Amino acid sequence: MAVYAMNIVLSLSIALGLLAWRTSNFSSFTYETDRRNAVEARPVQLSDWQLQSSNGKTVYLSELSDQLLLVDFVYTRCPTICRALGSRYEQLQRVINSSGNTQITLLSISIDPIYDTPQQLNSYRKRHNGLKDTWQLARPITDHAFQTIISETGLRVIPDKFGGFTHSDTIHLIENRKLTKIKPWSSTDWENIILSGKNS
Amino acid sequence: MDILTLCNMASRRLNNWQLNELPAPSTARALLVFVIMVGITPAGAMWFESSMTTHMLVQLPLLIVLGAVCYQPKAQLNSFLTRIDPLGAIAFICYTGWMLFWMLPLNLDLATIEPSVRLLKLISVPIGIGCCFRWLWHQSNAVLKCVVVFETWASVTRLGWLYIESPLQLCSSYLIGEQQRVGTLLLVISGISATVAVFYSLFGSFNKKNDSTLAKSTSNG
Amino acid sequence: MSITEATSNSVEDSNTHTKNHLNLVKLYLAIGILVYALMMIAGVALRAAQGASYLDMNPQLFYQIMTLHGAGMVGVTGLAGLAVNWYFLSRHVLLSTKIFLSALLLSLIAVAMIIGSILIGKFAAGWTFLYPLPAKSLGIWSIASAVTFAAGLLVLGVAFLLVYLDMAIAISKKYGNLTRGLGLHMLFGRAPVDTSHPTTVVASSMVIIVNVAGIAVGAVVLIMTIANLISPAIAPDALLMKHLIYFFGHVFINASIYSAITAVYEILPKYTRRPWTVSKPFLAAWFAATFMVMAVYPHHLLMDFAMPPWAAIAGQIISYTSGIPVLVVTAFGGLTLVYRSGIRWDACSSLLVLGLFGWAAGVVPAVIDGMIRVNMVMHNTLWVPGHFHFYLILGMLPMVLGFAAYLTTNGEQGKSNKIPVYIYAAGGITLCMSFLVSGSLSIPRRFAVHQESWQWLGNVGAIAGTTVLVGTLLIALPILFRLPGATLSAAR
Ligand code: HEM
Ligand SMILES: [Cu+2]
Repeated sequence: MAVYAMNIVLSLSIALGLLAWRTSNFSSFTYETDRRNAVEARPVQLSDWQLQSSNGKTVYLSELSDQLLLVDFVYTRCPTICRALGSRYEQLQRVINSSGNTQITLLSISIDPIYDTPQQLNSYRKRHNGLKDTWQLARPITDHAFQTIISETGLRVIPDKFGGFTHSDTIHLIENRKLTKIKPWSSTDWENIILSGKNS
Repeated sequence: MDILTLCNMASRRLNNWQLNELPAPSTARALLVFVIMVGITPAGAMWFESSMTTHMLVQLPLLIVLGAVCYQPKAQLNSFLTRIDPLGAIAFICYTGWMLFWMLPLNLDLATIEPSVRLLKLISVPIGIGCCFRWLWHQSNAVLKCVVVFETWASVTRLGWLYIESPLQLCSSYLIGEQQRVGTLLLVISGISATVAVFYSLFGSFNKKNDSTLAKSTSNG
Repeated sequence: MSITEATSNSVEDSNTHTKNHLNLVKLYLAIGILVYALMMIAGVALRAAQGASYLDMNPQLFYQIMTLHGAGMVGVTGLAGLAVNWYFLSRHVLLSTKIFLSALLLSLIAVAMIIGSILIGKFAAGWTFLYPLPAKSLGIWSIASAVTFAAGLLVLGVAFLLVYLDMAIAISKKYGNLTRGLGLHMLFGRAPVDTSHPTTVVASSMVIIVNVAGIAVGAVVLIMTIANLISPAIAPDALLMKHLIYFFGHVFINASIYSAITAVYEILPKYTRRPWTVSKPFLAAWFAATFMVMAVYPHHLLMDFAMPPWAAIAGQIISYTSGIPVLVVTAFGGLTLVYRSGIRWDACSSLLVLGLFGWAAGVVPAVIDGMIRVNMVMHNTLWVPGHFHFYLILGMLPMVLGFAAYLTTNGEQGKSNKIPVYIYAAGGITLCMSFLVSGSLSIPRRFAVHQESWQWLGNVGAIAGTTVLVGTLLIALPILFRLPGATLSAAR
């Protein structure tokens, strides 16, 4: 009987341990939270993404990444989240400019590269009163580049019924080509990072 | 014929429905292997996982049911399981643990993304849930059996309601509209199964001694 | 261990088996009586705080104690009712002592969680945990304590579920199924009324049906409450939640009263030396009560203007009538049983008859409360505590105490003192009147601080409550001391 009791306790601990491990100690129950927690625990080394900038030129992540990069993923036709993200970037850009911190760049990467030509990207930034200097826009031009971005960030992009996409409303922090933080756009952490110049 | 007799007749049919009316374990095993193979191939995985409905309400139940039906342990294994778990508590933990595991939106998502988690699903669902359920059924007394059924029903209901209520998209791989549809379907399942269970427990005939009309029924377990 | 094994086991060592039966019931009763006394002290403190003369209590503490008193009283009423029901049912069918013991252990864990969440976590949202209040603490209690409270109720539900399932299976094994236990084949079928069919089995079948339904609903609604606590974005429809919460709560407390009635059915005939057997009206009454107990909760929603009028009207009609069927057959049956029977009045018999009286008279305030027009005004007044304290202090609790007295005198009649019963009854009636009068003066319920003009009623209530407590102790202390010596076996 004592052995049995011990076996019960043992299997209970194994089951609970497994669940705790899988959910990062019962903190992440959904993929999106798990993605955030995982990056926070273990920053992800990114490959040198190849992108086409909104001025039509090819840029590489390494060229941008000597600074702190805040990256969001948008598509310009988006009627919902991307508008919020755009307004948020407008706000953050004002914070950057008034803080005088030149070490920070905002980057929006399109998840609809076929439609989002450089012109479309530029007009998206214009709609949100964005300035070129600290807000870059870009799209992946090869399928391979797009897949790399998706798999390295763990981003999920699902086509919806209306020809658009359902996607994450988060902003990603990249330091020295390392993805170190993923937080919702509404988080006030972003202001703190801009003002202190570092990831707290 | 009054309503009571009708109810009794219908639930007697339920009562006499025995496990031997299920397909033979060998057929089930072949079917299970087939479903697993389809689940591994890219096209099959794509089909099963393309929508939340087929993923949660077709593939997972198929795996569970087939896993349960093909469970036929050798005498040795059976006596070993009985020895280490006389009251069915370990089976209960195993069954609930895997149920919980696959109810987490996180794992459902990962199964559509990571091949290793997909494989884990195809193996652990039939074994951890399906076979475990039979093991549990074999091992436990009537009260524990009822508790298991009760808790499983309650979980389906809770999950359905949560899917409908949650304004958050719980699975990153599926749209929120689809999540709500699955929630509705889960509640429909819960409603139907509750009706059947109430009907069965109220009108089924359980005393094998006194009711001569029941002579045909055999005991199970 | 399967049921058939249990049967053969019990034949072998039926002696230890029956002794375990009795010991367990004694354990339930002893714990129950102690908790009752403690919770009464809490109740007296509440009423005294409202009276403001004898006690000065910080409102925050008031709501903690109110939550404790409510949850504690409902929980212990459930346990005591279960113990009575289990004792008498095991005279007719084979019940598992292991399960009964596990249920007690689980309940104690649940009680620890509930008390911890209130006293340590400062949870004070009322035992009804009415959504979304548990999540809106304004910083007074933590999310964790609200979750612990809800989880404690969930564990309590599982504990009861275990015993009900065991009872349901045992009844089904012997009588075929629950509807046959309820006697429907005699009521509707061609089968003649079998007067040897035990009244306890009928009552138990009804209690099992309604309470398993209630616990099923509770199991879902509690998890939804917890989900909302953990992730506030998940916000279920508040009116639906209210429906389910009151279905669960109302069914649970009602079923506890119906469980305790088995004591009247089984013991009173011994005093009057006349049998109490099933009859068509008896079966019809219990059949009707099965539905009515589940349908009566909407009188908690008469104030919710979002409800369609037909629902309010249906709720009103059912509140009027729900208590009546079983009440009529039981009160009438009880009276015909007692009338000119030369019954011996001791603590046990007078408590049982008091219980019958309190239960019958408790219908009157309940029916008044069920009226829509009145309910708009009264359902948030002390009328409501008035009506349920009536049922519980003058109906349910005397039945439990009467049962305990019966056990401790080993069924011997005329051995116990009935003066404490008078004290208890006088205190109980005065306490309930202090609530009912307050209600008719539109004094709100669940107010920690009362206006000066209301306070005398609080003081009356506090004194009356103390009298109830004294009466209870006078009845219960001899019982507690003699309980270990009780030998009246429960099992067949
Ligand atoms: C000495 C006897 C008792 C006294 C003095 C007493 C006193 C009180 C008081 C003052 C309240 C709060 C009323 C309000 O303002 O809303 C209350 C609530 C309550 N009492 Fe009692 N009580 C006693 C016995 C009982 C018993 C025996 C039970 C059940 C078996 C019971 C169950 C309840 C319940 C369920 C509540 C509702 C709590 C809530 O509103 O959340 N009480 N009682
Ligand atoms: Cu968007």
